[in-house]
Amino acid sequence: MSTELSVWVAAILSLAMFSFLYRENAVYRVAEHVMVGVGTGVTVLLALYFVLIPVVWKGITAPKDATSAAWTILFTLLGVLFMAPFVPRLGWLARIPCGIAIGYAAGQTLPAAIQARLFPQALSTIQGVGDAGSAWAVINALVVLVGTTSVLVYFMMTVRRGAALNAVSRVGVVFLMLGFGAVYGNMVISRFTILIGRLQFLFGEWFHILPT
Amino acid sequence: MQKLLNIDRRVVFLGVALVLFLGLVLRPVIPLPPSSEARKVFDAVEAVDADQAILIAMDYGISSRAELDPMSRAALHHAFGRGARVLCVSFDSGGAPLAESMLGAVGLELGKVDGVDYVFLGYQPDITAAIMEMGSSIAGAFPDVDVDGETVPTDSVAVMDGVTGLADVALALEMTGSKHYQKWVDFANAQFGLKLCTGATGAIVTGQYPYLASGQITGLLRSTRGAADYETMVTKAYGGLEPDASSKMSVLFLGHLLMLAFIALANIGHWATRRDAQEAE
Amino acid sequence: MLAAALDGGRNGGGGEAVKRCVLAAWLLLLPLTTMAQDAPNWFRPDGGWILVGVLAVGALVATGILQGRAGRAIETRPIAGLVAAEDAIGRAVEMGRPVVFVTGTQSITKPGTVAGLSVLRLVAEKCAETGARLIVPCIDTIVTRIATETVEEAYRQAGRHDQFVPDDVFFVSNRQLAYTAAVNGVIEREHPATVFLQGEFSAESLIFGETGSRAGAMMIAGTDKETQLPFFVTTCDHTLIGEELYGAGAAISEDAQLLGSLRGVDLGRAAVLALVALGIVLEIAGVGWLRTVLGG
Repeated sequence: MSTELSVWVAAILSLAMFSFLYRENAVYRVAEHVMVGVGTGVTVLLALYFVLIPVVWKGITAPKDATSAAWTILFTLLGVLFMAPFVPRLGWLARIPCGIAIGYAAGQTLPAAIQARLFPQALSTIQGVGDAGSAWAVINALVVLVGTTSVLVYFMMTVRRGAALNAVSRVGVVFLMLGFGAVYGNMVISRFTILIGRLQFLFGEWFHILPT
Repeated sequence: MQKLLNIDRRVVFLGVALVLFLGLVLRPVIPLPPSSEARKVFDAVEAVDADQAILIAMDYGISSRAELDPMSRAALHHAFGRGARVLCVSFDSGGAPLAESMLGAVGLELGKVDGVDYVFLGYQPDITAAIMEMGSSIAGAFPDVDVDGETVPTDSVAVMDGVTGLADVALALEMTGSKHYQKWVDFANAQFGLKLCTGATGAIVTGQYPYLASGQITGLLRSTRGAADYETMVTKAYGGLEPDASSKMSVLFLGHLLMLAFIALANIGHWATRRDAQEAE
Repeated sequence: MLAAALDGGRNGGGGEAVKRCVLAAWLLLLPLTTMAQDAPNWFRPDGGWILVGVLAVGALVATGILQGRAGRAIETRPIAGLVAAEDAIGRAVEMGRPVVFVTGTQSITKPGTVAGLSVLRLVAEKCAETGARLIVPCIDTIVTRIATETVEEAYRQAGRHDQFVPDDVFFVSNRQLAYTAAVNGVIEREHPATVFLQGEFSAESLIFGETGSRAGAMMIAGTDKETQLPFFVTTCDHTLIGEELYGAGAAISEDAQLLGSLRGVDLGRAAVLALVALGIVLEIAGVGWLRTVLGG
């Protein structure tokens, strides 16, 4: 058996989390609260060492120039507004950084979505048909084309549907379910791998009973 | 037949644990030919000349280590085997220390020098802003780096000679279990033309196939299978890599057989129960 | 340009003052150009008509919104998960057990989170009307703030502000697995009659789905993360698939602007279908122009 304290702590916490598979219990609850506590601690440390010290503190006390210091102070103050709800009368001020965050994300996403997703994926669908050199490639391209079309029709929410659109939409559902099946299969690989990793840790690193 | 649908879930858990444990002990060998998408990753790294820069992004934390660590380790061995300069980064706050530690360990194992052959650029909280900045200046996004425990300006490190922005990077390998790959596709590839390969957990890999088909991603490592394929190819070409994902593949195979058996049993039970109900009506 | 402006100024005429102003402005702005930094181009001469794409998408969405504002009736197709929400809350009242609402595991910058908060508004209104207890554990501090305001407002509008319990909308942890473990604990301990999982989820979706099902709760899920939908489809009673989550937000609010934007997105989808169809016709005809436009 391992003589390292860290291995023992990790092994006991792993078993405590596994105990949830039997039923909810006090040991699991302890492990759950340890995770929440450690997670919060890590978050505070990360904020301190990756944002507050290098960006805010150094940005103000040792700036590249006056302009960069001014920007740092301005955006730090905007960030501080997130804490406005602690003073009920000033709670509305938190909406300013919230609005900036949402606007920034939306502005950043739209051109990227057009450039990196809409155009290349439309092009890929078109090229699939245009460049198909073999019977198999033609079938492949047609499957992609029918799948793309029918799923787009399925997600049309405000279009009144007749029999034809309903039929196309139902084909879209079939494609969605096939896609979900593929995701599910991959997820099984993922989950099994994590479990195998844990078992290797418990029986290998902790108990030393696995062949090397 | 109703019993088949009412199997206690704890029996299922126990069955899975037993089968996987047996697999770990018995270690059956199941040879698998490398998948085409993993072969593309291998070929992309092979196309990088000695002294060119490869960027490896380990954007994952503890929960994805089992699947992605073998890929990252194989990628580091492969890049060092090619004689390429390795720049490493992590946009996962929990994963950054793990990434730095793995880079240091592999570098030490292969006799590579920190700051000369490789460098860990660090972690930034805003991945999009950092990638945009890296497009024109990697040192702008990561002004300082730690080399042998000492903090120095990124520009002053030997491994960064001639590397200013992403245009000076020959290839990027993005390992992730989250949507971070989307940022690399959206900004690093689409805006700066960075050649990109990805390694993904099973949970998110399906979403990456459209990008592989369109050529935005050059190669793709699919979960443990992709990691095992890549590991095998790197070991065959350069040696010196302990099998990690490969050792899990045969155990996975047994687990999958058990899953198929459970699915079959449940469907038989469901079908029979429905038939009985119809007959009763 | 400078020479032309100076020439215009010497020759006089009606536009002289305007030209002088333009020249002055240009000279004033000149030093600012030294501050310019390199940045990715919006309009690439080698193909990617990104700006045209952005403007086209913007125009389509604007058209939809204008149609909505102009009072044009926009109907949305019924979403099964939404129809079931009312019954699910009634079930909670009958059983005397709470409703748990999870707004996803992402920040407020994600569209899925915003849509999840719209559904929260509906659920909070129904809970306030019927007196069901609503528990909202959050993963993000800003989301916690908005969720608290949303729930409090719903209770106020229902005239039951006294029944609003601020402690039932709370921040847990922004670490994914810690949050997951804590929500699992809440579901196991509180035995909710109904669990709503509405927003953007990651690997924890299956864990939530399984825990809720095991606790005997009615599960109504919705997410725009395609990779997580299979787990909701298999473990939950009702699932809002992808954009249905956004549609739900618009349908609930009956807000003309939101419905209009939904209409605009549908117009965008129709445009994509038309683009693909045009591209295939051009491919068959041997015309490669659209490839160039799309960046091929």
